Amino acid sequence: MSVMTELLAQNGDTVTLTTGGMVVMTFSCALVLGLLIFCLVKIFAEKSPETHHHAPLDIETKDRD
Amino acid sequence: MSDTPALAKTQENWGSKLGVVLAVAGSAVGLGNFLRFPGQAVNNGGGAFMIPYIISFLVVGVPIAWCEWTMGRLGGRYQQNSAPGIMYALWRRWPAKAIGAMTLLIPIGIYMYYVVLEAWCLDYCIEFTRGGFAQMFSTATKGLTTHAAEVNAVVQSTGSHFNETVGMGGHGALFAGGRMVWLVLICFVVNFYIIYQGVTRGIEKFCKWAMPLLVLCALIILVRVLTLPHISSGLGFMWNPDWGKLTDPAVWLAAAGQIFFSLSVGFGLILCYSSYLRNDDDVVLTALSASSANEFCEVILGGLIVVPTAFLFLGAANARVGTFGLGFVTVPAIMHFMPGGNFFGAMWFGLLFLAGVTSSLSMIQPAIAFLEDAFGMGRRASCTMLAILTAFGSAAVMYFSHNLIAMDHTDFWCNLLMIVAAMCQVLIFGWIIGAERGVKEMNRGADIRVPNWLAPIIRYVTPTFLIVILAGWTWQNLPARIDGMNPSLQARLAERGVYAAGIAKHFADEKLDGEALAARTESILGPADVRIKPGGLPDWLKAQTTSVEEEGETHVVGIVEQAKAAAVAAAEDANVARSVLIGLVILLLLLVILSDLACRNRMGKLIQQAEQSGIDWEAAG
Repeated sequence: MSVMTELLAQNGDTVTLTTGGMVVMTFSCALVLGLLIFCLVKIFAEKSPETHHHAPLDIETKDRD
Repeated sequence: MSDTPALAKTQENWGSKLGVVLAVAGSAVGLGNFLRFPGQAVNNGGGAFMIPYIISFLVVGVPIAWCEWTMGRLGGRYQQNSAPGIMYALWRRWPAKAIGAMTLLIPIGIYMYYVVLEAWCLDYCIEFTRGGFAQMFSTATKGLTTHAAEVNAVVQSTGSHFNETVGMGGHGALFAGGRMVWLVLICFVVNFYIIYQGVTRGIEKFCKWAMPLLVLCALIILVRVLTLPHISSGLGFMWNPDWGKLTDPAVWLAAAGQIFFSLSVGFGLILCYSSYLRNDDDVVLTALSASSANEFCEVILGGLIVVPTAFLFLGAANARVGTFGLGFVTVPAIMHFMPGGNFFGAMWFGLLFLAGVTSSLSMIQPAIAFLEDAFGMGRRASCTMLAILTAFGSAAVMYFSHNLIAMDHTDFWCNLLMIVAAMCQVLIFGWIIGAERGVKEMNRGADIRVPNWLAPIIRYVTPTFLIVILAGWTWQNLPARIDGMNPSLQARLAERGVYAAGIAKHFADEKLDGEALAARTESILGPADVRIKPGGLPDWLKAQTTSVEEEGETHVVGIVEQAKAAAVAAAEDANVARSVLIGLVILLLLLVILSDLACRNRMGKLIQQAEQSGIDWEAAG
C-alpha cells in the first residue's frame, strides 16, 4: 500500500460526511453556482454592448433592392 | 468659471461588460478566497457557518456592492475616477473629502504588503516547478520509517521553509539573501506594467485571460481532490455542521467579516472601477455577477480543496491552522504525499499568484486615477510616483519581517479603516443621497431591476450590521493591538514567556495540567504585571540552557540571556508596530490635504465643468 493510500485510510476513517454536511455542502454549492450561471446567462443573452450602450448605427447603404 | 479655459480630460471606459465583471471579480478573488474562507468555516461550525455567511452576503455584501457601483458610476459622470473626487462630487461638504482620502489610503496600504504576498506565491510556484520542495522533503524524511514521523518531518520542513522565505527570524533577513527582493521587484514590474497600459488595454485585457486561467487551474485541482480515496471524510471534516455554534456571536462576526473582506467592498476599488462605466451601463447585474464569481471561487473552489485535503493527508491538527499556515505550510506538505505533487503544487501557487495580481492591480488603479484627476498627471508620471511611494512601503514591510510584524499591523489598520469607509459610504448613499433616490439611480440602465424594498435595507439594516461588525471586530482585536504597540509591556511578556517555558520544561515529568502549571509559574516568577528580576530566580532555572543555531553555527545560550534577547526583540517589534500606525496616520493626513487641495482646484473645476455640460442629477450640497 502506498504512503498516500495508508494516510488517507488512516485519517479517512475518523470522520464521515453526515447527511447534514452533505445537505449544507450541496445547498451552498448549488446556490452559488446557480447565482453565477443566472448572471452569466443574463450577460451573454444581452444584446452586444455596442447596440446596448449607444444608438443603433444609421448607415445609408443605398441598397434599394 | 466661464472665463477659465476648459480642462481637458480623456475619460476611459471599459470595453465590455464581461471585461468589467472579470476585472472586479479579479479584484475580489484573492488569497482570502482559497485560504481564509476554508479556515474560517472549519473553525466556526463547518457547514453551520454557511447560515450567517449567506445572510451576511445578502444583507451586507450585495447591498454595499450595489451602493458602491452606483456611486462610482455617478462619479464618472462628474469626470471623477477616484474616491475623494467621487465623494466630493456627490456630497459637497468637507467630510466627503476626508472620507475619500481614507478610502484612497486603504488600497495603497494593502498594496504595500500584498505585493510581498504575491512574491511568496511566485517563489513557491518556482520552487515546485524546479523540484526544490521534492528535494527538501526527501532530505527531511530520510531514514524515517513511520508515516506519523514522516508527516511531522514534512510539516516541520515546510514550516522552516516558510519562516525562512518570509524572513520571520529577524528584521532585515530578507535583504540578506536577495532572492525575495528580486521576486518582489518582478511583481512590482508586472503590476505597474499592466496598470501603465490603462484600464481597457491593461487591467481588462489581463483579467480577461487571467481569471478564466485561474478558474481552470483551480478546477483541475478540484477534480484531483474530489477523486481522492476517502474524500467524503475530508468533506465531512469541512462541511459537517455544528449547529450549536450558531448561538456564538463570534461565529456571526467571523462570517460577516469574511463576506465583507472577501468581496473587496468599501475600500474604493469598486468606486474607481465603476467610474469607468458609461452613464447608462448596467450596475445591478454587473455587481451581482462579480460578487457571484467571487463566491464561486470562495465556496466551491476554496471550500472543497484545501481543508478536506489537508485533513485527509495530515490530520485535523494541520487542517485547523491560520491562513498563512494553511496556505504556505500545510499545502506544500500535502503535495509531498500527493502523486504529481510538483505539478499540482506549481499550479496551485501559480493560481494564487494570478489571484494576487488581479487583486493588486485594483489596489493601484484608485491612486493612479487620483493623481491623474487631481493634478492632471499623465499615466507615466502617476505610475512612477506611485511606484516610488509604494516601493518604500513594501521595502519597510519586507525589512521589518520579524514575526511579520509590519505586514500584520498594516493589515489590521487597513481592515479597520475598510469597515469605517464602507459604513461612511453606505451612510452617504442611504442618508445624504437618499436611499430611494439612490435605488432609482441604481436601476438606470439595469438589466435586472432592484426592488424598492432595498432602500430601507440600505438605509437601516446594512449600516446597523456594519456598526455591529465594527464594534465586535474592534472589541475583539483593538485591545491586543494597542498592547502590541507598548514596548515595555511586550518586553515583559516576552521575558516571562521564556522563563515560563523553562519552568514547564523543568516540571515536564510531573505532567501538571494548565492551571497547576500557571499557578506554579506565578509562584516562581511573581505577578504577571511585575518585571522579573533574574537575581531572584531559582538556581535550577538560571542554569537552564538552549542550543541556538545562528548562521550555521550552534551556540549554547543561558535562559537569562535568552529572556533578555526576547525582551529586546519584543520591544523592537512593538516600536515597529507603533511606527506602522504613525506612518499610516501621516499618509492619511497627507492624502486629506491633497484631496482638499484637489477638490478646491482641478477636481472641483472638472466637477463644475461636467455640471455645466449637463447632468440630470443633483448632488447633495
